[in-house]
Amino acid sequence: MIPAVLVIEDELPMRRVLRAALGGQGYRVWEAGTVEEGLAAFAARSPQVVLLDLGLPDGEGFDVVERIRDTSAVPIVVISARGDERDQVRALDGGANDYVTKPFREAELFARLRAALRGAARVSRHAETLTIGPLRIHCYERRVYMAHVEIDLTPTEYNLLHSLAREAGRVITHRQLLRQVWGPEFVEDVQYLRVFMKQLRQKLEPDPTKPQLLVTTPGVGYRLRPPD
Amino acid sequence: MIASARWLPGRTAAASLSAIKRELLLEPAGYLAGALSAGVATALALAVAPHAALAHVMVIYLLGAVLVATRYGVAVSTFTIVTSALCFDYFNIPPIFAFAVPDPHSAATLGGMLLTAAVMCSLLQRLRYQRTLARASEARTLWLCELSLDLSAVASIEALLRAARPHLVRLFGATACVFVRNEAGEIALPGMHREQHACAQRALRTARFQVTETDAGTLACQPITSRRQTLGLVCLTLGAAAVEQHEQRVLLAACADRIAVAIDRLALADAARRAHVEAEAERLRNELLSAMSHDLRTPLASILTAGTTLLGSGAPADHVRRELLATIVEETERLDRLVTNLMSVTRLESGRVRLNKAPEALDELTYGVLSRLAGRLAGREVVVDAPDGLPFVAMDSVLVDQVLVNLIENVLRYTPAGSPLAIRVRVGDGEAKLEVADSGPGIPVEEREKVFEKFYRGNLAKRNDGGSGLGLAICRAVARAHGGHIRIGARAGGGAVIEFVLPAYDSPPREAAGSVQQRELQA
Repeated sequence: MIPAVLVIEDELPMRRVLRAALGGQGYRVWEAGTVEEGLAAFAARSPQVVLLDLGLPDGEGFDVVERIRDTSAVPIVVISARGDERDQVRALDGGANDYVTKPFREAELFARLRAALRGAARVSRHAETLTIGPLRIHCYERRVYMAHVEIDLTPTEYNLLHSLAREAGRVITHRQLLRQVWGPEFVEDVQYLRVFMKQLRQKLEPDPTKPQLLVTTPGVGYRLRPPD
Repeated sequence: MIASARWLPGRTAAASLSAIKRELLLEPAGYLAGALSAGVATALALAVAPHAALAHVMVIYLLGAVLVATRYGVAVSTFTIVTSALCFDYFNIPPIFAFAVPDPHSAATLGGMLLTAAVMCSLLQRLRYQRTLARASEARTLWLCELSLDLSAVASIEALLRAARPHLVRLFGATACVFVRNEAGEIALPGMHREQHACAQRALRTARFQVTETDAGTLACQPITSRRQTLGLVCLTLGAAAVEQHEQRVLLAACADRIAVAIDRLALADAARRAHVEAEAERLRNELLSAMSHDLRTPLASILTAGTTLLGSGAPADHVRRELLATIVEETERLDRLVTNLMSVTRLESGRVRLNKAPEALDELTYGVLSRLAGRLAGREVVVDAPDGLPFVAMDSVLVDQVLVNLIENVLRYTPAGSPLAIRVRVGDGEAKLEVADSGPGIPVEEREKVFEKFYRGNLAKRNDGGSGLGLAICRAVARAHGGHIRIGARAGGGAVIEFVLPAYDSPPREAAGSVQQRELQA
């Protein structure tokens, strides 16, 4: 099935470029220029993924994320010229799946789009195995293999890796990780994350000083990067 | 803003004024001196009486009374005159040892003595009173000068209030409060009862001295005005008698005037400072604009030319097309970098940036940056010297990440391809230090400060190396925003070392991290 993308973006040149790029990759493209148009198009077209700009003439993209999340779990990728990490965290915590800062390269956008679609394609959040490149996670047995070698992880390390792997390719914010792994009362304790990410890298990365798999997005969170 | 003080014991200007009146009535020593004068005069009079006329004897009494009047008040003087007159009558006017005035001559002498004494004493009294007043006013003038002097040295409203308070207490011996207009233009009057508040409001509204009686004493409110504007209010709580005095009011008005002058001076100094800052900002803006118009236009020109060539009728060959497209992409990226850097540096230098501080591991951050730049670092030997278990340091990781990227990009830009790069990370003694050392040409001593300025490019920097002249300016702004610093040194054996230092007093100790692991082992 050809995935349909709803592009909510008010800048016409950007829309033109996105239409060309997405069309070239075989996506079906719906377009909207305002919050209202976007929400109406979303209800009418039921796209498989939404590309959303934050600064819209009649409102904030954050509102669109919120309104869509009220009814749907469709992947939302925010595309914004706002580089501020606080905006990223706000969008991601609000339920967006990913955040791409404008300007971006075509390859970057499609990698994030594919990751978002892949995440949505997995029906069950409790899949039996997760395979990301050389990394394989057996969820029921809570076992982790790296290039067929079993890696011994502590329960917290496993939970952290599992949270990242479940949504491989997308940035998970500090708060989201802390809530999922430690619980809602620990969302401010970023240093826990630092400690356990370091341990995970030491166990999983071939060279922990050159992290390739567990990537930091400064000020936002972490991402498990699937091999290209 | 309020300055208030309790009443302090001690001699004050107000006290000295009321003391004058009190002294004039109650002087036990004075009455003693008056009696003594009368006694001594009588003894002398009795001694000279056989050889002198009655009028001569009278002079002795007069002399005594005048001497007493030079030192003591009205009551004592009156007492001395009457006593002396009685003694004169009793001991000297025949019949001796009786209060009788037998003939008109004697009566005239006695009357003359009483009148002369009264006139002289009253003249002396006035002189004395005026001298005391002059002294008090001298003291007040001195205190006012001291107040002016102290107020002229203050550099802020808070300091002004602090400086004015003890002077008011000393001058009026009262609880003194000074209220001034705050930034919102309001004069807040906290801690006042209803009637006090009403009086203060009345003083502010009418811009005149107002007074009211309250349970806590008399409240005197003197507005501080300048150029028909009410700047604030001086409130004194003091004894009822003192307020009635004209001098007190004048003194209070004078104090308020001194405070008004000081407030005006502060406002003017502030305006001058702001004007200077604005002029400086204007100069920087102009420099920025001229630098920007060059740095922005250059890539724009390439993009436009490449784009129009592609669209044009020439139908360029395939490899030329690819070249033009690559130019568009590269120049756009350069523009993007420039705009991002400009935004960072402007935001940081405006002081409006709110640091998003969180405990971070500097070594992890470094590894993250190196792996992102791995492609461009290919072919270089990169050594990271960071001890295991570095404590976390509170910082804005995004900004520090940017610093690292900028420092490493500079190395890539200004040192020969393939030359090594060494990064050293240390945390201790209240600071976190990050050193980036290269084996390039180094930076001459005279340029080591200048390179941190916006748009300053080192002499060795080529014009079109993709640098924006902002990288180090951002680094310094980040260091300063954190309360740290950055400086350039020379590496032993050639090359530059850039040292980026952040304060690390509030870094969580390693145990915090350890306890997390501990908890898990128990779980």
